[in-house]
Amino acid sequence: MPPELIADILWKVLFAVIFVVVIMTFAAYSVLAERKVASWIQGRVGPNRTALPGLSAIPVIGPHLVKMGIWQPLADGVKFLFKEDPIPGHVNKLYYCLAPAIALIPALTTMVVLPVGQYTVDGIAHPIVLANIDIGILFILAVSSLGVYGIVIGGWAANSKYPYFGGIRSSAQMISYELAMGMSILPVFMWANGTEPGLGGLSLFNVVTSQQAMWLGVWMPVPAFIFLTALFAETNRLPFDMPESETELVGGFHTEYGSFKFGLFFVGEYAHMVIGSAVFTILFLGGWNFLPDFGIDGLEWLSDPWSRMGWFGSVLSVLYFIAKTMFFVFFFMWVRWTLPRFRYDQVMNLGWKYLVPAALACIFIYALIIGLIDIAFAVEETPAIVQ
Amino acid sequence: MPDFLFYLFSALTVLSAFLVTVSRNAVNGAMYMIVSFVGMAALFVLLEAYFLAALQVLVYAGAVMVLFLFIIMLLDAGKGRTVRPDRLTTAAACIGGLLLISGLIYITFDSGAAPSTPLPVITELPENATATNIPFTTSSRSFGYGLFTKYMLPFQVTGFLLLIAMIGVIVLSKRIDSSGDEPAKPRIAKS
Amino acid sequence: MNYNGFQELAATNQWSAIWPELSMAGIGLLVLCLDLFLPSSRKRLIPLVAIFGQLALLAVLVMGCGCATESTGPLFGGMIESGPYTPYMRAFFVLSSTLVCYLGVSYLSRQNLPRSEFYLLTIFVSGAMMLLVQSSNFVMLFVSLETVTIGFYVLVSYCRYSPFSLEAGLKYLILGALSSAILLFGIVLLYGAASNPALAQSTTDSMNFAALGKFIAATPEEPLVLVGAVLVLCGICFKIGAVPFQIWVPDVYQGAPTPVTAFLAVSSKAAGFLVLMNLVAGPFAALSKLTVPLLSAIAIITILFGNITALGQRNVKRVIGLSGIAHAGYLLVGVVAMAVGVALAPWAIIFYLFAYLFASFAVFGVMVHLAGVEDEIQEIDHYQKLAERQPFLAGVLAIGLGSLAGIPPLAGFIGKLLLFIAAFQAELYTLLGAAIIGVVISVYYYFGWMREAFFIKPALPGDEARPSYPMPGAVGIIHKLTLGLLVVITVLMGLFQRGIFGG
Repeated sequence: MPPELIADILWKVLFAVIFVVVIMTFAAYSVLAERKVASWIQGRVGPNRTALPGLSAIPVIGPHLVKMGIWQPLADGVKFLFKEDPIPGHVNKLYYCLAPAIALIPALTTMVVLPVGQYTVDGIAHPIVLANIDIGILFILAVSSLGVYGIVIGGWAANSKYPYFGGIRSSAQMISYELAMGMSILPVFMWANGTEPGLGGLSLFNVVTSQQAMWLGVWMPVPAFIFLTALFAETNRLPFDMPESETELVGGFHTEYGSFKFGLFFVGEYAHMVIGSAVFTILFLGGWNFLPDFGIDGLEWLSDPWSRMGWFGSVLSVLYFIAKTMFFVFFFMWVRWTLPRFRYDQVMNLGWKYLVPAALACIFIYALIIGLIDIAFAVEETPAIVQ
Repeated sequence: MPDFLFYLFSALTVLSAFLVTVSRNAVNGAMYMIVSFVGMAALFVLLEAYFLAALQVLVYAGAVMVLFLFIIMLLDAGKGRTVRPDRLTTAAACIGGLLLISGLIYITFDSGAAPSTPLPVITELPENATATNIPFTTSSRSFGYGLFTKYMLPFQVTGFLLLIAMIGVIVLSKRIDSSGDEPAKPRIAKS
Repeated sequence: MNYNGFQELAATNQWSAIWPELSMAGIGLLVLCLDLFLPSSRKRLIPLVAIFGQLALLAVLVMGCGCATESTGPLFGGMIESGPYTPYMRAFFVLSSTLVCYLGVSYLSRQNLPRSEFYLLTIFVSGAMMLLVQSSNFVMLFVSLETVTIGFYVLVSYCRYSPFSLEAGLKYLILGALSSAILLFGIVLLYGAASNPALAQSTTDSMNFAALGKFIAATPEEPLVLVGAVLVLCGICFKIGAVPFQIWVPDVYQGAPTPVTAFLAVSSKAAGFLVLMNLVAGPFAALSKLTVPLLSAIAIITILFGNITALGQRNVKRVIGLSGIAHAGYLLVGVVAMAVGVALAPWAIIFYLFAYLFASFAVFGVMVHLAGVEDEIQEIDHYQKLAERQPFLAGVLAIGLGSLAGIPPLAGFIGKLLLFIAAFQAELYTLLGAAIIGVVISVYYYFGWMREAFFIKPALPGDEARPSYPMPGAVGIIHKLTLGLLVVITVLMGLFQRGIFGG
């Protein structure tokens, strides 16, 4: 192999490791955030005493650092790693061990195509992304749809009643909501491809740049809502946590799991949540765009201040994007501790009888609107091939 | 490198497809089928057909096979009794299959056959496509243009195909009451 | 970017050229909407809409048959191309679909099954068949073929509380999927071979029949082409029920509801033959060294197998199914003659198909009227003394079976005669011999069925133990009219065939 290729591969691996580390850190701290938010909503304190030895000895800020509980994820991780890991005798060993990995790997793989910011070379903006492929969103949908196998196989391999129910519920729920999710983003891509000629395909960077005038969540509220609802269902978050509803199914699909394997499921769910929030931010909240500029000439600095600031702007764009994503992670938790869980038939009804038809109607309506805009403003390079 | 990957993923696809046919446990079979689909998607990636690859994973591995697993688990079909096909049929099927495979391999690698030619990779739509000439491009946009011009009619017929399939499933599975026209009310257990 | 090429492509999407197919789709959708919105007291309207809508379409088509026979050239970017016999085949499929819907009314009146879905599935499937026989591209061919096949999966297992029907549906599903896979494999091999730039006349549009035909004419010895062509022909032979792909026929014909059996026997078989004709005369024209011996062998075995196995059958639906295999064999003789290059052959096949349609629906009409709730169990014994009790039905049965057996002066005789003349012109004497032997054998079982209806057997000891079959009530006036019309046409086609196709 030529040395350039090896160097190239090494760089890619390095970037990938950085991405994984960042996402996993976020997932771990989301767990802490979840506990803190829960305790805040319920009027409790939450984790407040895990600390590295000697930390509280630091004057003034030491006790505050301890109270924030920022060492809790570390302690959790250590506990998951070093606890005894028994495999129950009645399980199907291969699938039992495989399932947690299947649950986590797709969640981490999707980040390959996730743009997190932009950098500017010679006045042209480029995404900060591992692989800028044409079909970004399809890749995310495809790979994250494989995550369900972790739950289904885990529930089945446990060879026990309640995990089995969890697995079956999960497969039905995933299929129902994947459809609505896929259809709800079609208007977004119609918009991203329809009005701006030249840009094409399903790449996520393209979606972000097409939102400089207006964030799509503002003028496509219904698709945004459908996508968000489906996202809750796909990540098995309350009010859609049918696969593990503890009041009915003990622990659901992971009842028979413990220690590190359970930890993988747990982190996988939060990784899904982080990535899902990032995708929602990109699709409907303008990604790293600062504020919408309403298409007014001279206001471009409002939507894209980053390209004027060099490398510092790139860092800021990433941070701004992370801030938006974190808000959505917080939103997930807020909803979790606010809404009660749906009944299972309500979940199915909502998915098939409301979300899917609504998403279908949205496709028609936005196709009409975008077509009318094309005609009204005579976008010259948009080909009119249908007679 | 791509050659090595091609043989790797082809072997994976073929092997897992073979395992689907011989595995006794339905869940195992479904899992092998997923592996086979993912291997196929990898082959599409090697051909730079990313769109097809994503659809292969999204539709087949991600949705169809989840339904398969759902049905297998719901019916608990893994524990059904196994029917052994009779020896003669098995032998005939094996011999026929082997003959076909060896014949195709012979044709493919036979020096007398036409050599294979690598096709150029086109990343954007061609400037001028005609009815006889829509080359394959790697951009997902070209699929749209193809579907809505040249393949318009099959595309629409496919819509009817899906409608027929949907109506068929409903006809074959909905409850019938005495009049035959209206589905019976679902029975809700009164508590 | 320049999109002119695509605009030119889109310009060939002339929807007006396929108005009969669109009308069929429209009638089907209308039935679907009526079923949704009509109150259940008005649901009786639905079969009327289905039948009279198709009759109106049929009337327009028949009036158009005489004047517009020129082919319009490739449409929809080469997906479909109407040939000289397209107008007749459109009328054929609409007529067959109408009659299936008509038989469906009396079948469904005895069964507790969903109603309107039967009509709309029949109509959609017929529309897909009309496109199937015009397709000039493997993509179109496969898509419309699958539409037809999936519709039939549902229709065959329509009577879902009957184990026979479910068994038939399952068998048809599995074997149909297998045949689709074989067909697809053949298509892929042809596609791969024809796209290879290293070969002469290779094309980027290698699914297209015209381009593929050119390629095959240039490289007829390429082994991949030969394998691909054989696999494609096998896939189609499956649909027409030719030996050795006939294994599904008896069970599926018996288990399916009787109207669906008629639909399978008439429309599905006709569609298969039209596709076969298109392939043999189109892309595979240069492969006649392969197709002629292959199809001849299949035809001989099919004729003999169908007729000999039908001899011992007592269930009339199985008799119809197995004799249908034999009819497929006769038609294959015509296809072989066409591959040799006899100009008469395609018209002979089409005449035969029409004769088969009228005769079969006459027989199926009688069968539907006589069948009880257990539709699958219709034995020849049920027809005992039919002539005494229902002389009209017995007459219809006699003429229908006579036409199927090829008794002069009925339409079936002329059809067979035309096919045999075509085979004679093609100098296929072995095939001719096998076909004549087959016809002689078929007379035995057709007349055995007739004998049961007309001649009272001498009472043998033990006959009293046989259960007597309850005869259904009198024949309604509409049923009489329809069956009478079918019979009259069968007789007229036998006497005045010159006027029908203009020679």
